[in-house]
Amino acid sequence: MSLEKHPDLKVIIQSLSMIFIVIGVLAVVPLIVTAYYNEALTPFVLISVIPILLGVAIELLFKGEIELQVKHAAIAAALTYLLASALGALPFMYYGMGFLDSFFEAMSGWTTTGLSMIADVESMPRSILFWRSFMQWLGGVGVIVLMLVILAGTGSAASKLYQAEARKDRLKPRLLSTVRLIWWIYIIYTVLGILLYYVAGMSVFDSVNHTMAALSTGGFSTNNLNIQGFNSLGVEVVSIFLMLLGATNFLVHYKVLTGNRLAFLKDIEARTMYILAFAGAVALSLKMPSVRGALFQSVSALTTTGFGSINFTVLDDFSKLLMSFLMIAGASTGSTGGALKIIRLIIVVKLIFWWIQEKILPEHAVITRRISGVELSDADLEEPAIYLLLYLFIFSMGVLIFVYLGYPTIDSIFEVASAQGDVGLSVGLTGASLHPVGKLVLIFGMWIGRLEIIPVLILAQSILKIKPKKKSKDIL
Amino acid sequence: MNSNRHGDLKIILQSLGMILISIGILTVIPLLVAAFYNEDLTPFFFVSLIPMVVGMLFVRFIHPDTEFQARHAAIAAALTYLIISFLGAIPFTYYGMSFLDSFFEAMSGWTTTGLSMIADVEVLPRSLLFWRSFMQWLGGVGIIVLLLTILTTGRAGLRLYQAEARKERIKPRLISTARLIWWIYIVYTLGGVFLFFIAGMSTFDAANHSMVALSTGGFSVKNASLAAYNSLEIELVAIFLMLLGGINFFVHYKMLTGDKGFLLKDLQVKAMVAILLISTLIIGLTSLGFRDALFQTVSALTNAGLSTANIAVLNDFSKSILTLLMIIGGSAGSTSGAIKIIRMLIIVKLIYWWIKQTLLPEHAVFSRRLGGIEMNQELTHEATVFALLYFVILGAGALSLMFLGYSGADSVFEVAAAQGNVGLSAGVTGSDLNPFGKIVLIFNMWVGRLEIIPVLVLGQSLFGLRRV
Repeated sequence: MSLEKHPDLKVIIQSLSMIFIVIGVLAVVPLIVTAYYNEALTPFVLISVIPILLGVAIELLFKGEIELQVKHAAIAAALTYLLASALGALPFMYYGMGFLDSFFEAMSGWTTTGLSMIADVESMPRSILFWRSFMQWLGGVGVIVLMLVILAGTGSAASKLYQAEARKDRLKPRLLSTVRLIWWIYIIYTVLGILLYYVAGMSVFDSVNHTMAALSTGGFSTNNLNIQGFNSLGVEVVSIFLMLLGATNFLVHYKVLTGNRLAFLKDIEARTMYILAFAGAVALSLKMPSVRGALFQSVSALTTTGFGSINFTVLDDFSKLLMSFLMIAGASTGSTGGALKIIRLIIVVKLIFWWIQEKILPEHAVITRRISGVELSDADLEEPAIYLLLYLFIFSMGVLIFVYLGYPTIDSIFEVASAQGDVGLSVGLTGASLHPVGKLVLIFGMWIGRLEIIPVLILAQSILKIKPKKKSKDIL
Repeated sequence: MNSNRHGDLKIILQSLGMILISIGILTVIPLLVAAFYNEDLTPFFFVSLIPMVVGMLFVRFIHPDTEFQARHAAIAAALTYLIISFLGAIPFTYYGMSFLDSFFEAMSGWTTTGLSMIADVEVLPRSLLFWRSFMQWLGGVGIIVLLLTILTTGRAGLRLYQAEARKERIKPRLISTARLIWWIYIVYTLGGVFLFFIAGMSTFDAANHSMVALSTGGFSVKNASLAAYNSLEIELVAIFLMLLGGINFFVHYKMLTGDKGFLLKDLQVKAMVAILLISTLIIGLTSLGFRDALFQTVSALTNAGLSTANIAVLNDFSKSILTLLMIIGGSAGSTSGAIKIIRMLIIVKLIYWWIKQTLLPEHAVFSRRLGGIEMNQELTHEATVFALLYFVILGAGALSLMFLGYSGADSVFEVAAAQGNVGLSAGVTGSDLNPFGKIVLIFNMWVGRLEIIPVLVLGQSLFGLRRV
């Protein structure tokens, strides 16, 4: 197959090579950790060497400038998560897990989900535990960058708001410097988080891992009982703080750090998130035994982190469904969180509200449709609604498959919402004993949820169209 | 403002008055049935007399001075269902049921839902059974359509007509449209009675089941619903009638006036057949036999709620599929409830167009047509907003039932059955249901039948929500 005939493919492979090299270089960090703890180096050498070799080989093979379009970025992103998960699965397989379980674990890591196939994490080598957290940490910052690239190109309502916001604050328009800035903020927060956890009483190793998992809204823990295992108010408070940090738009962080202290209260998304988390906590405490647990779980579900401070197996259906709603709502745009995203929720609620107003008001009354000062057109309003419906459609297909496999309806709803929102809470279905089809459904949910659906569709379309390309010329 | 509000109230009361009178007149029919079976006439006297007197007072002494607007129609429609449910509750209360249960039963009747508070219907007097079916029969064709046959002010009529979730105008002139719907409905009902009779039912059973099948209501005079007969013929007749009820009356009109092929041209009918085939196949293969699977899917999709199988013992998967069908519902312009197939089609198309747009080069233009009609933003907005609102209310209802301790699958099923005016039950509904749960289901039936908006308008005018 000659790549000259497929310029798109060439561009995609080239951009993948850059991502490979970045992953390979960064994988040196877990390698050092492994060396420090004197554990088997082989899997992490592989993870570092394979992508670097592949990347360099591609660089050498396909020289030349690349002109990256949104379409390419989307396909590359969709493929990246698959390839990175295959790669990330290696250490787990090295330690004896099956491929599907390992792939699941890695996908759950990169997508910052936090669902796990490993029942007893405490018996795992520290390097493996660090690798899990590290994937989430990278995945968290990675998705912000990813969405900067893709959002900027789609022209959707969310991106319009996002861009307007960026312009208003004269945030450096160049992508690269924005990315660098986000990295710095992210690293500073990580260091801060480690300190805080340490002060709250965790060991250094636990602090590092939990900070990475909390800030990236990932949710992997080094404790079998997750946060519940620490049974410490201090740890829970620090976790809540870090989860909220991770789920807030990083542009807002930038503003706060550069002097605009109250920016996090002015941002409509951040504000709504705090209100929703609080409302969720109040509603959950109707049925949950402790208010403390209710608040923690509400924040954990809404920020799509997936930390657990309570025993999930005794949860009643009401709390499960409520938490599922929070998991579907999700975090802010431009954050490490997943799911629908709060701005879409706001737009959809406004859409419904304006539509009702239109029906109630005398005919021909004019309604201005603004959200935080940005005027929205009909098409802008419709996009989030369609996205939500598509999200719900994919979600219900997943739930149906789970129910078909024989799992209870409410548990299926919870588990699929958790995967698709990249949350990671589980009522006990996820585990090595889950039906393989169920594992595949959750992997798919995590993948499509993290990419916000569209890249997966673009990938599917390009795969399906590569073959008939020769016959039909009318495609382009 | 105050005088304006006064005017609003007057015009709403006047239209309510007219609805009450017509209800009063029609209640003579159950009165006759009660007389025929030599049963207690008192409750039906009340149901007939009270609305007539009150209605006449309203019409006689209230002289509205404002123009009838969409807002008034919405409020009148929302209030109508509450008021007639009070009226409809009288016979049940008379025979000893609690008020809440009676109100539930009546709301379930008028909204053609079919959920019931009565465990043993076979011991009830025949007049009461007839009253249940009769409410559904009237509710199916639409209380407002009923009014239109009497009403003569065209503009007001149109508003009311739309407020009761009917969009298409079969004929330009509204009154004749309403009359036409009535004629088609009556002819079908008589046909149904005849068919059920042939299939082996007694006259009384045939009359009742014909009314509830055609109106997609679902009350039965048997405790086990149609399972009691265990007869293939009866089930086939019921399926036929439920499908008739679930199809847009515009299609019936076209069919009856000579365009025989129109049935197959209608988009909603085509989608309905496809959905039914697929879900029958799925349920047939996974749990129930094909005979019951077909019956239950038709019953769920058309929102009828008759059953030949015990839903409570179904597995979660079949319940989920049935729940989805109950949420989709029948055709717009039919007697069924829920989101309606046409809105679902619009949404599916919208998602398809959105994906297409994302995949195509920017600014590529393609036509957005559905069934040969160009879809504008107004139509697509209506469908998406309605579906989302529907989900929100459904979610809130299901959450409430779960709060009371019912399982997730059953709660979703039951609320979907109430809000879609279906009437299948997973076993939650019954007189032992928590009063709060009963109120939730009553609310869902009410909101579902009116297609949400009139209830919102009523809420807004009652609580004076801010008008920006």
